Amino acid sequence: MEEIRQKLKVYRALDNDYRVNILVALFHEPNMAFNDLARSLGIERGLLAYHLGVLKHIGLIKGEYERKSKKSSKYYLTNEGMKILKELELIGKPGQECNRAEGAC
Amino acid sequence: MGVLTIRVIQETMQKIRKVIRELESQVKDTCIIVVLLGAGGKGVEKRRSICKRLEENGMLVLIPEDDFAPDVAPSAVEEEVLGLADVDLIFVNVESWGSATEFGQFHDKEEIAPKLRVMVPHTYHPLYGNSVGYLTDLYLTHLAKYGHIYAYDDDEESAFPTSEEIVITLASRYRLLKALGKV
Repeated sequence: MEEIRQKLKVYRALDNDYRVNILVALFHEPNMAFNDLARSLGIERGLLAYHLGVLKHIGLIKGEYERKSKKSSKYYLTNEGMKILKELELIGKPGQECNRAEGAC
Repeated sequence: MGVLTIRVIQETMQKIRKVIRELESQVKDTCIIVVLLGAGGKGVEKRRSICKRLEENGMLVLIPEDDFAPDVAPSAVEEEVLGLADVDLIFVNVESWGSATEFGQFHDKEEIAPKLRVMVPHTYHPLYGNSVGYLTDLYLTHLAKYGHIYAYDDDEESAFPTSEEIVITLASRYRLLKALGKV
């Protein structure tokens, strides 16, 4: 039962377009910086901070913050994050991704 | 770069929601997202303790200081997030000037107010306390318009519940109502 509840929590966390796109973006580019993620997804920084918080909290991504060089935080998928993308069949299939330059969204 | 097409996103969301429905029918329950706002310092410790209890009950609970990316100023995150994000409930424990300021900033925003549950020390509650001033007046306005201003006593010297008891009770009941499709 506990396993089912935990899975429900994970899928509740996934129930959002932005969060799924964040996972896919980090699959293609691990250690992406916060600002690059915001630009890539076309999302407000505050909202991105929230969505990253949800994914980090549920263990699908991890983040590191560099203070010294004044660089922003960077994020990458955990093993759980990779597993979920495979479960949702979002890895390795051609034609899934949006090419904004070609307007194919 | 790495952003899914609209068609793929729609198909993925359908898959995700199908799994959620199946899991909910198995546990006869649902999962809600809760955000806990309040003072720093000891306030964060208190919120962490509440977070742990709610998480044990199957809720997804966020504390901005611990969970939100530090790249964005907390005040900028909260206003954007609380209005637009898929948060179910926001608890604000107004125990400092900082958290009172936060409350003042977004209490009257139509997209945030319905999700807000405000806890104030019982002496400052506009109906039960005897304090007068701008903040108490603000609480009264919010109470009259939206409801959801709760008096607490963390010193347990009166009959009022603690802030932890309020959060656990309200969040648990809200989750039950959501599972039943009543909210």
